[in-house]
Amino acid sequence: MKIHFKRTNFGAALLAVFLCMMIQLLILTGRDGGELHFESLFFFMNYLDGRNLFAQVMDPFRNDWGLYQARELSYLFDVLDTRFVAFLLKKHIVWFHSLCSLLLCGVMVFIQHYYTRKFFPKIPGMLVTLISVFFVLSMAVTGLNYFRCAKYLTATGLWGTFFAAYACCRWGNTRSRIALILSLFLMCLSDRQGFFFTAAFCGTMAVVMVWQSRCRSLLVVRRSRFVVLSAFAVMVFGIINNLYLTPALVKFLNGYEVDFAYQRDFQLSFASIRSGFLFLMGNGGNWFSSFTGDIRIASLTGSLLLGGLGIELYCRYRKCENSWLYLSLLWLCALGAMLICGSAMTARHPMIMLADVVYGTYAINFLVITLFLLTLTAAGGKERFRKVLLTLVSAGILLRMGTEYLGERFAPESQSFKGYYSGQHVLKEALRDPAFDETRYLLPHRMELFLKFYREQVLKKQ
Amino acid sequence: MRTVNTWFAAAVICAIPVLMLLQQHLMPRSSPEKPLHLLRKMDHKLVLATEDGRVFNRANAKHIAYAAAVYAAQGKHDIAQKWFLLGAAEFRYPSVMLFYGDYHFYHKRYQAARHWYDLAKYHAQRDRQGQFLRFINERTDALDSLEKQKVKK
Repeated sequence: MKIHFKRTNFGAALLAVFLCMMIQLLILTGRDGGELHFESLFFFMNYLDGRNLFAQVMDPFRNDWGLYQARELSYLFDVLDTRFVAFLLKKHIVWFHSLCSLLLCGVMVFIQHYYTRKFFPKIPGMLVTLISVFFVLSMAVTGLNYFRCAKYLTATGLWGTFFAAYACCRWGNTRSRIALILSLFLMCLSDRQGFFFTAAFCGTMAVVMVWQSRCRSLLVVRRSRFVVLSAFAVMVFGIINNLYLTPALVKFLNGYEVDFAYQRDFQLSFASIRSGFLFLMGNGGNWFSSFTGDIRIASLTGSLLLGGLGIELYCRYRKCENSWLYLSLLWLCALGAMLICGSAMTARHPMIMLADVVYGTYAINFLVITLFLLTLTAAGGKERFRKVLLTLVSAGILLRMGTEYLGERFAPESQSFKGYYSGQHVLKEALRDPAFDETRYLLPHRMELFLKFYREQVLKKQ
Repeated sequence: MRTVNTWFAAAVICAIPVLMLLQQHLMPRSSPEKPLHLLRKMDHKLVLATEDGRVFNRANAKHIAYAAAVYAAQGKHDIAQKWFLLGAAEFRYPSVMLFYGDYHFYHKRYQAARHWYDLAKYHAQRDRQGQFLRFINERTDALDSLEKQKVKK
């Protein structure tokens, strides 16, 4: 008797999530519990100090060194991560990875896989799965350190926004509208990057609406108008939340005024635009070649790839005038937004250009945008472009797996906190073995504080 | 209808940067005072507020050295010593150790100075700070030459 399994998009997406989670867990198990980040050490002590949850969350002075950024939603997930890490530490299991980020990766893979197969059936399932694997293997995603999950939250919101917006423009049903609004809120309230991309998305959709009003039905235009209005409304809410709502809650729960200096005191210049360009193109080069050296060489690789894509787009699509214009508009808007975002980030926080930081999670949202646009381009185009994309993605995966196997999974070793990270193995030994005497070793004072807190506050509350 | 939609989209595109600039403009210009009541409560004691309301981040070597220098210049050597010991003995910052050594050197306590220079060198070597090691070597060379002069006499 033959048993026939009905292949569904839902089932395929679940399988892809399972595959990607297994890959990520395999990578994590090879990291000996990870490393306690310099800043996470303080989160651990902040989020387990016995205050009520709302007071812990609405506290940028302790959670963000006073650098208020209206991303308190992400602190909520950081609290959950901390409690999970503490739960494992009570059992002497050292696991300095973010559970929320890992689960969010699963959600992102599901959204990407399921909706790509549903909305763009022309794209072969193999390519969709490879894009999912490519996404989770990239250095922007695979860190998963116990740190902050603001960027992962924003990336999840971004995936949801893109597919919900597509569904809204195409069908305009209630479910897609609700999904769009929820995704926009998630993105906007998770991080400053998320707020910026909400505004950029609004502007991009307004540009698309102008194009659609020239050559599409009025029904499509009306649906696009809803998308634009929703993004605009969420952006305005984000501004009100940043300026008034969150500061009022912080004052009420913790009794102090927030400091806007981090958001206020920086200027864009030609140097920061140049850095933003290097950041954007360098990460592009890193995703497809796993190159982690000099950012200028990585950005050259990224620029060549983008240039090649532009030529391919022009050669293959110029006869289909509408598709070519549409995709070119989207790519130009996206690149412009990413360049502005990268420039603002490097102007505000030049440390992100350090070799051990530049190829990390700061670029995860840029990767999401790039992959979605590549998906759109592949869906609207000819078979040849899909083969080019398949080659690129496969090469990227093989190179990434190669570097992971060779143990070069991280960018160059952190130079900023070398003295701090040299004590990690002693710290982990002390956490695993209650009888271990770490006083024989010269640990950084911060780690001694952490161990004292762990023994006095965490273990005693068993 | 097409014209209306085009104008609508153009209005949205223009409104976005205006709103961003308005947000920047509406932000308070000055930074509020640090929440001293929170600083005093913080269990991990990373930040210290002095009685006269100045706030120093105890996790910051520059702040510790600055606080110690201020008190030493005012002649409050006991308080200056506390700050030096905080940074040098408790937090083990090589830069504060070096500065503490300079403090002893200035007050002609050469043995104590050498003790802190040696510790600073040990910690700086662990962190491989080449430039910093040169600073320490200059000072230990100065101590060596002083000792040689004493022996000659």
